[in-house]
Amino acid sequence: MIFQKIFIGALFLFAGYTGYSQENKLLTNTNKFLDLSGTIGKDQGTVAFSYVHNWRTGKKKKFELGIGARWTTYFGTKKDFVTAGPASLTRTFTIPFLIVFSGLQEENIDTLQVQRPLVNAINASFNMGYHFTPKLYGGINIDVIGFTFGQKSSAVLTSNGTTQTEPSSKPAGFNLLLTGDHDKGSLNSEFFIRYQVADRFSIKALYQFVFVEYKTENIVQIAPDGTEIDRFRNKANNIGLGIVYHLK
Amino acid sequence: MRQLFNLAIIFLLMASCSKDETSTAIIDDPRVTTGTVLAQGSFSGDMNHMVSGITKVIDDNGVKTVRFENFSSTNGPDLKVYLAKDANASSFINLGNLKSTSGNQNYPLTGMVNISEYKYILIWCQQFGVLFGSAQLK
Repeated sequence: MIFQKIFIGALFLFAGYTGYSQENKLLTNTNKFLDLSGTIGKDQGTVAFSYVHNWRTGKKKKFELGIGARWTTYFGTKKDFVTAGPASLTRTFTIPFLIVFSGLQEENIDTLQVQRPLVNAINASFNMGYHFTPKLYGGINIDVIGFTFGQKSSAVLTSNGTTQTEPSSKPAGFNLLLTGDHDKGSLNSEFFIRYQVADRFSIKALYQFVFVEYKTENIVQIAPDGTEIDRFRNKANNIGLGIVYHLK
Repeated sequence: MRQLFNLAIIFLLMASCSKDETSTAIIDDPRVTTGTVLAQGSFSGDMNHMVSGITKVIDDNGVKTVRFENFSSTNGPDLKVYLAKDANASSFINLGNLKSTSGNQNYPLTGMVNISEYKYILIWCQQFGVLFGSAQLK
């Protein structure tokens, strides 16, 4: 019995190895797929649908780089959105890219609690990944530019020791990746591991970092220098699952 | 596959929704027997929401309490008690969740609050930004 198990296990390993060899020979220069993912966090979640066109690179074509388009729907209940910028007021330094390592100017950070946020962000995305084995693939992706539409929601702004009702906050319309608090709008990004379960299907597990931005319409935060701020951002960390359909 | 997808969507939606209705059990917080009534008013609702009862702001040696007596309200999600400058809650102090839709209730008022500035007690559905009822303090 034990030998049977070993034999069957060896067969699988061998079959996998053979498959890898064949796959490497047959690998095309591009990899196109559709991706449907869902994530969940505390009182919030997302559903994202994307099309990705990757180019395979490297001697064994294990690396992939590409572009895509992604629709992300974010929904939540009573989520805190904090002052989204300008970066000169929220961060200790504002050098692009390095800004992600900067400290927070907490005295300028106020909170807009959006009661029922719901946004749909459609963005162009950058994608990259690596084939660890023929079936196991890991990578990252990030939204770069796009637009957002969604649901207006009442909100509560806590600013300078007062609490005010914003009857109609709305999603920021334009999205642009500029790093850190320079970013505009709603942007999705993922770290993921994907496993191919059938010829055309893979399943994936993902860790998501998503920015969602709302703007006030009737009231604003007044910064100490007099700047009126109407942009507030929720930074959400979620985990989730997805399914990928590989296009020929 | 489609069933699996539908189940996943339903799970995500259910997990993200919270049902937060106020208790309907009649409560009877102890009466504040000493102290001075700084202001009081009567609750009224609108065509869609029935709210009634009396509210008082009582100062007992510097400890301020907002008290509801014979209070009754239509139930709803996420009902809060606000001490506000106007009936639109444009600027307010959140006294917390409405304890119950009926009974005698006390809400402690902490910090320095100018009652002549905050003249309204509101029963406010925070999640949907809807006023259920209000009492003007006089």
